[in-house]
Amino acid sequence: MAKRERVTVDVTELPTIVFGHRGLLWWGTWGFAVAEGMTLVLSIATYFYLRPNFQSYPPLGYPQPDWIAPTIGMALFLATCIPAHYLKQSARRLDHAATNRWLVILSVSALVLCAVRTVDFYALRVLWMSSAYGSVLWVLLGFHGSLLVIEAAEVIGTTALYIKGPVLPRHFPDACDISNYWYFLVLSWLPIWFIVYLGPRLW
Amino acid sequence: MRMPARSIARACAALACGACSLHNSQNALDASGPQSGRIAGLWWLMLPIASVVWVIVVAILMWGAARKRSPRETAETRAGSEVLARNDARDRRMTRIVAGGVIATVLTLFFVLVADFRVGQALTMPPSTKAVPIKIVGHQFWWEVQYPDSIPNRSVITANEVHIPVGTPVVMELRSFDVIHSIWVPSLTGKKDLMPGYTRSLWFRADTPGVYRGQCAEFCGLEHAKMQMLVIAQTQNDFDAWLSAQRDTAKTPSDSLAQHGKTVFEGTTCVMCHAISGTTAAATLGPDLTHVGSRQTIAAGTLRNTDANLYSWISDPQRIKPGVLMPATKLSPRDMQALVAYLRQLK
Amino acid sequence: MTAPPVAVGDSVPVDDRAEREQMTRVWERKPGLWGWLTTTNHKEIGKRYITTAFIFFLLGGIEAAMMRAQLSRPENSFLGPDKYNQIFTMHGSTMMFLFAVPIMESLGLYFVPLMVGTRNVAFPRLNAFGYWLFLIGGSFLYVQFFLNTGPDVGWFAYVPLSGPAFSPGKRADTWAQTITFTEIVAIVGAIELIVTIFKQRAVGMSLNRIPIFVWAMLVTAFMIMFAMPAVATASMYLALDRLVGTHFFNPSEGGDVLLWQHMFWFFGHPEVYIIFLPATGLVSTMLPAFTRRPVFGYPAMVLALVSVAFMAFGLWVHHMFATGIPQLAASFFTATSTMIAIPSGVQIFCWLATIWSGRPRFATPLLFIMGFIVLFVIGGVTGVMIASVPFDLQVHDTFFIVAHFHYVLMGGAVFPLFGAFYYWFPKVTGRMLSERLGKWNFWLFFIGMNLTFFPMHWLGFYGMPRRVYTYLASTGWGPLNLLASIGALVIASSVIIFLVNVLVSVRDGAIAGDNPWDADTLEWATSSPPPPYNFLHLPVVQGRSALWDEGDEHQVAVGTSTERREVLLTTTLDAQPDSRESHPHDSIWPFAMALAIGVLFITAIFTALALPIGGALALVAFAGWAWPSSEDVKTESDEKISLEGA
Repeated sequence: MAKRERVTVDVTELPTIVFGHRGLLWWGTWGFAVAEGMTLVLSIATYFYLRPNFQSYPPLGYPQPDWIAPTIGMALFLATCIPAHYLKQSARRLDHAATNRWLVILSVSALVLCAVRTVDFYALRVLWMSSAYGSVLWVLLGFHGSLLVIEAAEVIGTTALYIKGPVLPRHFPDACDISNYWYFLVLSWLPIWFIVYLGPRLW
Repeated sequence: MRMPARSIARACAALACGACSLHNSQNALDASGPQSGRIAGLWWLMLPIASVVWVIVVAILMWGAARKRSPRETAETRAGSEVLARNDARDRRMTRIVAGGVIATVLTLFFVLVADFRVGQALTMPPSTKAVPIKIVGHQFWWEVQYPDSIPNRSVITANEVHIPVGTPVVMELRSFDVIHSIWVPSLTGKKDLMPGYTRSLWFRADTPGVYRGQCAEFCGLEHAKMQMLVIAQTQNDFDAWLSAQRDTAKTPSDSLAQHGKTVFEGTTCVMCHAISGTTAAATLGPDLTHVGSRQTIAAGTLRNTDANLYSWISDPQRIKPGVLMPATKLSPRDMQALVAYLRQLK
Repeated sequence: MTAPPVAVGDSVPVDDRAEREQMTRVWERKPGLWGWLTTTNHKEIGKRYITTAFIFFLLGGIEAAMMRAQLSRPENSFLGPDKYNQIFTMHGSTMMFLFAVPIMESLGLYFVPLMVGTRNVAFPRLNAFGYWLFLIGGSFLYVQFFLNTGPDVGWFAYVPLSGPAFSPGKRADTWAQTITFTEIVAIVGAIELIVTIFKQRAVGMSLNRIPIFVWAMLVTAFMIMFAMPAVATASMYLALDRLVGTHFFNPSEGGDVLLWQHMFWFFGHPEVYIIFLPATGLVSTMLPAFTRRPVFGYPAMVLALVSVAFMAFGLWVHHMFATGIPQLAASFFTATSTMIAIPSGVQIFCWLATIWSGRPRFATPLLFIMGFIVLFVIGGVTGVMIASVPFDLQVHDTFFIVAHFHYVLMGGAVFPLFGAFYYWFPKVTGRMLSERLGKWNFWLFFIGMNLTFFPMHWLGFYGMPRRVYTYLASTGWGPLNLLASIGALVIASSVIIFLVNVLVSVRDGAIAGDNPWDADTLEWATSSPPPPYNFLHLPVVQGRSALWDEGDEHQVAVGTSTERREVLLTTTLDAQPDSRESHPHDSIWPFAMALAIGVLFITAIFTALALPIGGALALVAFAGWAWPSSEDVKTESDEKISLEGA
C-alpha cells in the first residue's frame, strides 16, 4: 500500500531559533493577551452599563476618586516601557549581560508598580461592598492587578533564570515576548486609569 | 387561514389529550385574543414555509444520494485513490443552482421577516381604548394580583387568579422583588419577564369568556413548576360584580365552627404571613386571604379549592409543593376543620 | 545533528526501520504511570480528552434519562424538585461545558496536528495542563453533585436566583467555579489550535488548502477567545457577589440583573456555534471520502464559516426578548438572527451538491451525515421562527425551545460527532468499528431523537414551560411526554449499542490499515494508530485534497532533527518552510500546575486563604515548568539563531 516517498524539501539549513511572529511563543503570548484583553473590555463595558443606574456619578455619598496618585502611577507605568524596550533590543542582540541588566530593572519596576497598585485601590475611596459602583471599580483594578502580579512573577522568575540558571538560546526570544506582554499591560491600563480616575470628573 | 388553523390546533390538542376530555385552555394555538391570534397566525404562515423548505432539502438529499449514476460519471485512479473524474462544467452548473438556492433562501427569509415585523408592530402598539390596569407581583412561588384604584381603600388585592373583562384591553404592570418570574397565559398572549429592579408592562385582550391557565415560564426555584395562575375572562357585568365583591372586607363568620376557625387563624402563625382585611391579620408575605373562598384553586393553581384539599394543604404544604415557603401547621383535627370552614366561607 | 538519511530528489529507502526506532526513542513517552502522567503527546492527551468528554456525555445522558423518567407521567414522584433542579442543571452544564465544547476541541487537538502534517500541537505542555484542569474541574462538579452540593440554578444560572440572597449554601458556587475551570481550559485549547494551525502546517499547505475541519477549528478557536471571557467574567462577578459581597447583580445597590443575561448570552449564543461549526467541519471533511470527490464549494464553505462566526456575536439578545428589550433593539436582533440562516444555508447547499454529484458509499459515517442534514434543517427552520420576537414570546422558555435546540445541537452536532467516531476510530485505534452495529446505532438514534424531541414542539404550544419537575394531569401533557420518554429509551439503547461496538471493536475489529476509507486528508498518510512522531518524514502538500492531488509519489520534507523533538514551522499564509523549533520534553509540571490551580479554585469558594496558598503552589509549579532541565540544556544548547524579521 505504502506509496513511494520522494524528498522535495530539505529543511536542514533552517534556523532553530527565530524571533517575533516567526516563532510560536509570540503567537501564544498575544493569544493570551487578546483573551485577557477581552476580559478587561467586558469589565469596562460593565462599568458603562451600570453607570446609568446611579443618578449622579460618583453616586451620592461617595467622594470623587483621588486622581493625583494614580496619575503619577500611570506615568511610572508608561516610563517602564523604556526598560521593556531596551530589554527587547538587547535580547535581539543576544546580549546576555544587557538582557540581564534590563530584566533586573524591569523586575524592580514591576515590584514598584505592584506597590503603586495598592495606592490605586486606596485612591478609589470606596469599598467593593459599598455598592455596585465600588464593585465595578475594584474589579477593574483587581483584574488588571492580577495580570500585573502574574507578569511580575514571570519577569522576576526570568530574571532569576538569567542570574542563576542555564540560559538557553530560546530564552532570548522569550525575553522579547516578556516585553511584548509588558506593553500590553501598560496599554490596557491606560483606558482603565482614564475611565476610573478621570472619567467622573470629565463627564 | 385562522379558522382552519384553530380547528387543526384543537384537533392536535385533542390528540395530545387522548382520553382526557378537558378543554385545554392553555394553548398558544387555541387563541382567544388578538395577541395570541396574530402570533398563532404567524405560526400557521411559517409552518408551511418551513415544511416546504425541509421537504425540498430532504428530497434533494435523497434523490442526490440514490439517483442512478450515468456511465460517464466514472471513478478514476488518482494518486492511488479511486476518485471521481473532475467535471468542471457540471460543477459550474451546480454553482449556479446553489446561487439560486441562496437567493431563494434570502427572499424567503425576507418575506418571513416582513411578516414578523408586521405582527411585532401590531402587538407593541398600546391599546387605544381605556384599559383595565392590573398590577402583578411575582413571588416565589405565587402571583400577587392588584387592582389599583384612585381611592386607596377601593383597591383590591388577590392572588393567583386574575379576573378580566372580555373585549377590553388589560394593561399589566409587572414587578418582582425576589427572583425573575415570567408571566405566560398562552391562549391570550406571549410572555413577559418580571425583573427585579425593573417595572415591565404587558397588555392584551381576551375576546371569549373562559378560564385560561397560565404559569411561570422563567425558572424561579424549587416550585417553579407549581407557580400557576388562572385568568378568568368574563363579561363586563360579571367582572364589575366580582370586583366590587372583592372590595368588601372579609365576611364575619356566622356559624360557630367558622367563628372558632377565625380565632384559630388569628391565634396561630397564619397571621405572620397572610392578611385578611377586617381582621388583625395584615402580613403581606403570603397571598391575601380576604376572599380566598371565592378562588377556584389554592396553592397557586395546584389544587382545586375544596375543603379536603385546603385541609391537607394547611396540614402539610411541603408534601404537595415541596419547597414552598409555607410551613406545615400543626393543629388538632377540630381546630383544623374550623380553620378550613372559616377560610372556605371567605367568599 | 545527524545528517538527514536522504537528500532532495532521492526516493526514500524502503528500509527505514533504524530511522523509525530512533524517532520513536525521541518522541515516545516514558513507560508506566509516570510516563502516563507526564506525557505531552497530543494523541495521548487527545484520546484521554475525547474519552473523558464522552464519559461526561454519558453522565449527561443518564441525567436526561432521569428527567425523562420523571416527566413520563403527570405528578410523578421519581424525583422531587430539589433533585430534579440539580439534575437539569447538571445535564445542561455537563453537555455544554464538559461535553460539547471539550469534545470538539479535543477532536481538534488530536486531529489538527495530523491533518496539517506536524508532530505535535504548538504548546504540548499547555495542552497537558489543559486536559488535567478539565479533568479536575469536571470531577469537582460531579463530586459536589454526589455530595448533594450540585448546582440547582440552571446551566444559565440567572441572578438573582443564583445570587447570595436566594441560593445560600455552596451549590451556585460550585457552578460558578466549574465555569471558571472550563473557560480557562477552552481558551488554552483555542490558543494551541490557533498557533498550531498558523505556524505548524505542512510545507505547501497554504491557507486555501487546509482541510475544512481545520478551518472550522481555527474559526471556532477565535470565537472561543472572544466569547469565553464573557462568561468567565460574569461567573467571576457572581462568585464575588456571593463570596465577598460585591453588588454587581443587586438592584438595590445599583447592580443590575440584566447585566448577567447580557454577559451570559454574549457568550451563550456564540457557544452554540462553537459547538456547531466544528461539527460542520467534520461533515465537510468526511464527505469526500464517501462521495469520492472533493467537497463542493470550498471557498463558499470557508466564507460561510467565517461569516457565521462574526454574526454569532450579534444576536445574543434573542435569548432575552421576554425581558422587555426596546423594540428597535429587538428588531435588530431579529434581523441578524434570521440572516445567520444564509451562511448556514450555503453550507447545506454545498453538501447537497457534493452528495448529488458524488458517488455515495453508504457507510455509517455517511448515514450520520445524512441524518444530520435532515435533523439540522428542522432545527434551522424553527430557529428562523424563534428569531421573530412575537413568536418567541409564546415559545420562549417552553418545550418548543427544548425541541429546537436539541434538533440543532443533537442533530447538528452529536450526529456529525458520531459519524466522526465511526470515521476516525480506525485512525485512533487501528481497528474498524462494526458497520452492522453502526447501522443499528444510527437508525435507533435517528428514530429515538425524533420520538423524543418532535412532540416537544407541541408541548411548547400547549403551555409546558421548561425546567418544571412535574405537571398536573389536567394539563393534558401526559401522552406527549410519555412518547418523548419512550424516545429517550430508544436513544439510550442506541448509545449502548455504540458502547458495545467500541468495546468489541477495539479488540476484535477488522484491522484498518493506513487509509481504510481511501480519504484525502493527511492524517491518513500515516499508520493507524499513528506513531508518537506522527510522520516519519513531514509531508509536502500539492493541493487541497492532499492525498488525491499528489500524483504517484508522496512528497516529503526532510531535515528536522532525529535527535530531539523538533517541529517544522512554516509561514502563516502560504506555508513555506521557515524554521525548526524544538519542542519540550515530557514533564510532570503541567499536572502539578493543574493541581495547584485546582486547589486554588476549589478552596476559593470556602476561604480567602485559597489565594495565598493556591498562588504559592502555582508559583512553584510555574517555576518547575519553566526552569530548564538538564535534558533541555543537553538538547537546546546548539541552536542556529536567525534574527531576521524580529
